Amino acid sequence: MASPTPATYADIRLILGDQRSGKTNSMVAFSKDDYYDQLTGIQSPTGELIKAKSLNDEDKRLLERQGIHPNVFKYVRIFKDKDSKIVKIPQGWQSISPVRIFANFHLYGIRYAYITLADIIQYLNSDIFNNAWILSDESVMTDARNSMTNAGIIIATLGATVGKRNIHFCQSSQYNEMIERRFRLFATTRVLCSYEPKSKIITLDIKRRGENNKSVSYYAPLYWKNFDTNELIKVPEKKLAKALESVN
Amino acid sequence: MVEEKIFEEEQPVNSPAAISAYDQMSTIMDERDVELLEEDDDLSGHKSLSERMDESPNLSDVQTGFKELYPKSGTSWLDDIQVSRIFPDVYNPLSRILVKQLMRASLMTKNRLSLAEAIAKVNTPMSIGIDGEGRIDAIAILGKAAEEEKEKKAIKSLLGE
Repeated sequence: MASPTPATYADIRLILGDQRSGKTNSMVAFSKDDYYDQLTGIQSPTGELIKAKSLNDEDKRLLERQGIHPNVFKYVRIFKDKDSKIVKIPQGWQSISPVRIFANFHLYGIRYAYITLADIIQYLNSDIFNNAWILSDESVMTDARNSMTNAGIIIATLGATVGKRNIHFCQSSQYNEMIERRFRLFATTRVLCSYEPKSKIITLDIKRRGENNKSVSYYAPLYWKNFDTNELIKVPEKKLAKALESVN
Repeated sequence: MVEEKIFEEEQPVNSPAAISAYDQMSTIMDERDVELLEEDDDLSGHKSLSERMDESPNLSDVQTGFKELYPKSGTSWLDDIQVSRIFPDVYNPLSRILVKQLMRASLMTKNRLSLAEAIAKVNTPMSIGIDGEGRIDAIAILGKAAEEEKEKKAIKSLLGE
């Protein structure tokens, strides 16, 4: 039997897989699920806010008995005055959650803050990233070749304090060695992705430190509306300029 | 009753300035129109990733069990036999054919198999696969693992975790 999970751990997840294997999809899935899990309300286009919570097990059973699949992203329990009821989130309404997400790519349908490596460096000494998700795609922020640059050293400092700040740090990469060595050592969870295009199912092999392996499959289209799989992460202009200088 | 949680972990706090900075930085955009999905597709029957993670059994123990129950022989077609259906009346003739084949194949290699070795190699997968018992055992293991996970969940909810 594997030893039990340590009482405290830094949530650093390396999400690995070939190109088009569902890495970004899985990063979005982890954060979106947490976002909806801690839902506090829904807001109309005119700004009206209604207190709401995500469906619990009893709510799901209630919907299933009525022949409705309890999609947690579509149905919520709202509270108005002293009553509560399960409703479908109306078109155009937004889901409000205290979960804060930072990402270096664009998200849709959930509140998030777009950041670059520069933003991380700028806000490193603040507590803005505490208790938040940081989604880093394409190993731009943690590239192994940047490990001895000033930026690389700074980002490693963040990595070493993920536990203290209670950050959920997700880094996607095609293979392990693309990621800076320190982050590979910091990582507490490794997720290996594979995608089956006919069934649109992504399978994750999850290995968390101190726990047994876990394999889970989920339906990828549930999250397609929340990100653009073809989005390219921009390379900083200064880096491009340097590269151009070197070839001219 | 002794309280189990004597020490509660303190979560790092977010200062009002940090919260305000996040509110300014953050935005919420409408969901994308995804062409591959049909209109009003409520994606019925599909659960979220976290729901799937809550359901999935502890696969490593299952994988360990499978490794012990279905050992690899080094010959893939022999391994496949473990999860095939072998009818009792063909057991003996099939066994003879497989033993002969293994011995003939080994003649071309450095490690020639003796008759006893070939019989031992063939007998293991065949005895697992007889009457489809290998498949039945696999299904039972997977079912048991899923049941155990469900029980664990039920206990947790009873304890209010």
